[in-house]
Amino acid sequence: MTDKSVLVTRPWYRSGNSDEDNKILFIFRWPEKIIGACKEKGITCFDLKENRATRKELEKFLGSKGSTLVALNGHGGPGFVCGQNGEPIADTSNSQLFSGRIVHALSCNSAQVFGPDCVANGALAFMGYKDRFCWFFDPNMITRIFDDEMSKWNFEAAMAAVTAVVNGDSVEAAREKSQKKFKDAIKHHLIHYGLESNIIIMTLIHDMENQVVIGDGTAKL
Amino acid sequence: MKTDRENQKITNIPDDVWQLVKFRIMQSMPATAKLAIGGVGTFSKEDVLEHLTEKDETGELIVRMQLSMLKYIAKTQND
Repeated sequence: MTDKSVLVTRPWYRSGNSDEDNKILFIFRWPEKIIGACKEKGITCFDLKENRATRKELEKFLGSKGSTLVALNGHGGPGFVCGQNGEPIADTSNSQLFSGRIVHALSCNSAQVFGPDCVANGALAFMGYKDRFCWFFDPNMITRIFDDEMSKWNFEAAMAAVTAVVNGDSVEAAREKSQKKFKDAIKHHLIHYGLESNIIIMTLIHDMENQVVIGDGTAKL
Repeated sequence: MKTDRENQKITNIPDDVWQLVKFRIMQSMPATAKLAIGGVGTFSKEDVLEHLTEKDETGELIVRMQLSMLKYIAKTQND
């Protein structure tokens, strides 16, 4: 049923609140690293972005194409992950669509209910977060998001989990690589301790400790 | 507008812990920085300090993060 391709969902919309827009921008831009990794490996990547990051498009896509790795990015809760305009696009009512696939969710709390439900319904493995994903950022760097010295550590570590799977690692090995990235970033800030280190380390440890793998850790793309 | 749950005072954390975390945030968070908490919001330094003063759910998450950090550092120092 599945082929060796990757499906990414990444919403981007104006909410009417500039702080909220900035937050969504991180979730929209950082998954470009997944798309880049796919290009490098010659793996087909379907990019459901902005107005295509909807439940209808996702369900249509999973029903017809069947990517092995699905990377969901967006707001979330214990039982769901959102897409465009904050609408839930994946939840316990359509989790059977992830059967036979590896799911990664950069989304708050979704490893609490949605992740286990995906695996119970046949997903090979689920990688995600059991608490809220948090980061500090410099609003002056919003146009150069990848160079923001406050937030880049959290997102580099989080994205490392998905890009490792794209590069052929098992889900558990990918998590280990991501955890190492978090630990290296923490170590870096402990050694080069500056004014902001306290807050950056605080979110790094929080995100690292809440990252989980559910299901078959040996699953590969 | 805050929900009832967000307004709820967290009472199981001692006062001196709230004060310690407030002090650490005051010292280390640049005035221009923002804290993004997925699904909750984006907070300026002033907002963060307000939530710690209010001792609400957002403040509790920040306290939990600081305590986890201190425990992690203490553990890695001993390893």
